[in-house]
Order: sequence, then C-alpha cells, then structure tokens
Amino acid sequence: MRHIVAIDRTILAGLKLCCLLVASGCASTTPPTSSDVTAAQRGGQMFVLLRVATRSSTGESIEPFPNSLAADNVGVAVGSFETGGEVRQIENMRFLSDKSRADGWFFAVAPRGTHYFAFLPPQRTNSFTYMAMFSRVKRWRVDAPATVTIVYAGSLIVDADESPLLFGGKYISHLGHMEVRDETKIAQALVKRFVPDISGVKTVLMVEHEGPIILTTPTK
Amino acid sequence: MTHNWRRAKSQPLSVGLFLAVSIAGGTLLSGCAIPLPTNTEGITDEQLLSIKLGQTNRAEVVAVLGEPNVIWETERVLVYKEGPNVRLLWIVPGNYSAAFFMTDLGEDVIIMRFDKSDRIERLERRAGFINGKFLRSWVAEEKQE
Repeated sequence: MRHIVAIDRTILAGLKLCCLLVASGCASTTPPTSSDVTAAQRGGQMFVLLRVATRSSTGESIEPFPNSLAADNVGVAVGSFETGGEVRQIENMRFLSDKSRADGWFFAVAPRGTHYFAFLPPQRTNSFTYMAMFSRVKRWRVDAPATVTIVYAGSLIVDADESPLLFGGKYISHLGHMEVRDETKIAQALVKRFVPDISGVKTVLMVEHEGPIILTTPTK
Repeated sequence: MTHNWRRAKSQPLSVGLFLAVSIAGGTLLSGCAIPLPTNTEGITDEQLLSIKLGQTNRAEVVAVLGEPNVIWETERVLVYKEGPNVRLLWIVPGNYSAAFFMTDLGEDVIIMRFDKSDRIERLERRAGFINGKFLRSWVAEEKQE
C-alpha cells in the first residue's frame, strides 16, 4: 500500500513536471495580478508597457504574438542590472487583454532601473542559437526613473517579412527597419482600463543603444 | 524493523532517482558534450602594467584598453570582457545530420573601480559571468577589506 502511494506521488510529480514543461512554452494572456500591483506600489518593481507593431512591405498589419506557443511569436528579450545587461528571452510574455495583445501590446513586471530590450522573428532554430542571436541584434534601452510605478516605453513599428508555412499560413521570417513611435494616449487608456489601481503612466521612449552596457543599481 | 522502515522510505526515492537518471542519461547519450579550453587574446599584461593605481584616470584607461563592455555608473565600475575561458561543445546526432552548439561555462573579465576623483583605485582579473550578483559581491569584497 505504501508503495502504491509512493508511486502515485511520483507519477503525480512527473505529471506536474510535464505540465510545467508544456506550459513554460505557452504564451497565454496573463493580465496584471494584485500581487504585481502591490509589488509596484511598494517600490521594488515597476510595470514596463510596450507595443510591437509589425507590418508587411505593403503596410499591412501583422499580429506579432498570435500563437499560444511562445516560440512561434516574435521573440522579446530583456536585460537589466541582474543579468549584467545581457538580454534574455521572456519565456512567459504577459498581455493586458486579448484585444491589446492582437495589437502588439505587452507588459513586463521588472525591477526599477535601466532595461535593455531586443526583438527577433519567431524561433526557427535550436534554443541555444536563438538565445545567442538576441545578443547580436539591435538593442533598445529604457531608462526608467526611480520613482515611477509604470513606464510606457514606446511603440516599436517594425517592417517585417513573411514566409509561407508548409501547410498554409505565414510566419514572420525577418524583422527589418524599426522605429519608435509615441502612443502615450493609447497606453494611458489601456492602463486606466486594465490596471486601474496604478495611476500616472510615465512615458520614457526606448532609444537604440550602441556601445558599452550602462548599468545603474536598481532602486527599491 | 529499522531496515524495513528504510526500504519503505527509500522506495519513492529510488523511483524518482530512476526517472532522473533515465532523463539525464538519455540526454547525455543522445549526444556528447566536449569541454573546449579557449585561448582568447584579451587584454595584455603590458597594457595593465601601464595603469597605475591612484594615478590613472578613467579617460586614460579607455585610451589604453578601449571602450569597456559594461559600465556600472552607480559604483564607478568598468568591466572588460576577455572572452570565455571554457566552452562546452554540444553535438546532437540525428539520422543523417547533427546539430552543434556551444555553451560558455565562464569568462575572464578585467574589472576596475574608480574613486570619486576619477582615479583608478582597484583593478582585478577575474573569472565569472557578469551579472548583478557578481558585481555586488565584487564591490562588497572591497568594503569588507
């Protein structure tokens, strides 16, 4: 009987592990929670809100994060003081709502301070190579002031190329020219609707970064 | 009784251990990992000898060594990465092909700190990955001294 219980526990642990592994690659819409808001209000963390707006050569809008499998979406990596500025892919991207996600809006809850972002087309190679690719692409810096709880870092308008998939449909195969646009009013409206407990969105547009990684100690 | 009790307690462990060994063994046997010592030519000793503690300022250091990889503004720290010291080469064979990729196990860095008057006060060559933990502990060491 003891053995059966022991094996059951092991199977249960194995199933939990499998679910965790499967879920770790999923890009579900996970809106801000009360603990996110509390962490931001206490000062240790802040919300960083961004938009990636991918468009085709004909100017047609392409959804950047349409798939439930994270690897099939535009890849986003972030670096901070804790990573020595090295950008690492955000495995579980978070979105305010399904509609805003379709428009390319996403957010991250991160320690206050300077952050670096990098973007890649969906993963079409092994994970090691894909992670290494992030360090070789254009990097964007966000210098968030120490006192803010929510930062809007701008809307990145990206020229993208699409390639056909074997069984129909298309995927983004290349990210080209990128420029930052200010859509503060939309950002403010989104925050007001989906994170009503936090007020005062500060716009700090990300800037293209070249040269040494500049770090500042995160403020609490 | 004690022995039986141990067996009963060790049963779930052995199942867990079997699973862990199976997964790890399967992963290892599916390919191979070869550690490759690297010999990157970073900053030379001659260059470092030209930097005098308490005398050389930040602009002079940059003139000798070039732009650093990382600047920690708050603590006036500059970091120069010399490259990985050990690299792990992974080879995963398939039916008619194989995938290769490399993982760095560590890197050599030159790390230095300047005083408030912008003169260099500490300079070291270290092995480690540059991240917040590494930087904080390096600065904390100095404060302990």
